[in-house]
Amino acid sequence: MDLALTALFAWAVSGRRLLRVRRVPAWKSATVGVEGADSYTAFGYANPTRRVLAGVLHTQAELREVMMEENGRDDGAGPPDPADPGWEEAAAHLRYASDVMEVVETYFYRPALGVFMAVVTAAKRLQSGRLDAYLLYMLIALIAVIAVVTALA
Amino acid sequence: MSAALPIPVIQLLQVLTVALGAPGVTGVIARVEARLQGRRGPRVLQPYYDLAKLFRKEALAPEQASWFFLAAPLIAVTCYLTIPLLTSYGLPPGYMGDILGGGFLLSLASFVVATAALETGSPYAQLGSSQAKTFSAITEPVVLFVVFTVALLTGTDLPYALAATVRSSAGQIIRPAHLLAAAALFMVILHETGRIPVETHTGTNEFGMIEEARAFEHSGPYFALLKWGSELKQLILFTILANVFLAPWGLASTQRAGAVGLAIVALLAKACAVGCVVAVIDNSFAKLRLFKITEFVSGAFLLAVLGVFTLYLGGG
Repeated sequence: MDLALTALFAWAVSGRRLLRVRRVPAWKSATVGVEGADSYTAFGYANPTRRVLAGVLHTQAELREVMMEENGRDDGAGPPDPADPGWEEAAAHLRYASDVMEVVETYFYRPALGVFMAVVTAAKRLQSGRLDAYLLYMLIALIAVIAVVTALA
Repeated sequence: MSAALPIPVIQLLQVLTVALGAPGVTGVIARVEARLQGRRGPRVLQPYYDLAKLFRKEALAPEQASWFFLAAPLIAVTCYLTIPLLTSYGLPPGYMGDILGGGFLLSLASFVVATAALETGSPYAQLGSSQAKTFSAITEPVVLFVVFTVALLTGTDLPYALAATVRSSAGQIIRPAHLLAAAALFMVILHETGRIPVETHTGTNEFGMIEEARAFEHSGPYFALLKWGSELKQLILFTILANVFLAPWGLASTQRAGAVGLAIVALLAKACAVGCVVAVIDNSFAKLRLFKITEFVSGAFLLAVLGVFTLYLGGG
């Protein structure tokens, strides 16, 4: 409703110009021939945040030499091998990598995992698959219930 | 004696005050800034002429952009015009929505504009969008903490409850929690309105732009709406600062036409006064490096957190 009012106002002051939109290429540079990707990647968009919150996220960034792939793009081909002939030209390519540390995972889930696995191991030992062991658990449970009921009565 | 105005008329007046006053406030700031620099400066009415000119220009859009690119300016302006309805600025009744509601609408508008900038395929608009969102990640918690301070001071999160508390005694004005929250809010406002030390709003270097760069690919009526939206946001934020925190005097307490008229004049005068302070800051400090802005907004965050702590530790 409000949106319709705003649209109506914009239409009233600008008339047909509002709806007659001409499509043009997005402005990248005044120089002809500047090519580049058409949009930020999700990684690139969030990179300033990763840098700004480095204290909280424990951001680690590194710049290293990698081999150029055939198609001219960096596909993560790994570090150059000096044994290859002509590796210096092929390695004239840098790769920027940045990663954050998952604080909750490092300081909460990983320590908790050890305790949790110990509990799982103990529980596994109980579930041996032997029928007489299960009957024994049921007997223990029955005695425990009777003991509790007797104590409460 | 003047007659009492019906509430729908008052609500409409609030929206009209903000809608029509906002470019004027921008004009006053530009004029004051120019005078401080020894220039004659543009006319106070220049922003209105700019908007009128842009509304008459042809609209262009990047080839790949979807309908959202064109809808975003309309949605943003609608958000900004809804806030005066929610939290009445100086005019009764101001109890329909709270500060948090206004904050949500401001965030929605900023999100919509940032998303539209991402749609363009222009590296500069996307750069501005990315940078704006980076620093919003810190300023939005500041606004939340300011709201917490208000809530602890008054027991509500209604802006007018705080205004009434501040008016109630002189002691309330110098309460540390109140002063810290007001200072934090002022720093957020400098960031949100794209002023020094965060951004040179008249600058031409794309890499230093945050607010301004997002609208790069919009043109004609759509650019006019975005520009008008920034001016609306500026007036809304100045009003929150002046009418709720710093000088909650001159608000209308009755629905009489005289009181309402006085409140409108007081509102615009106070916004211009805040604008003059902002212009002086603009002329006295240098712009911070991009990654130094973090320290500025973190400083605001620290002040807001300190405000909440002083209340709990008994000092506020």
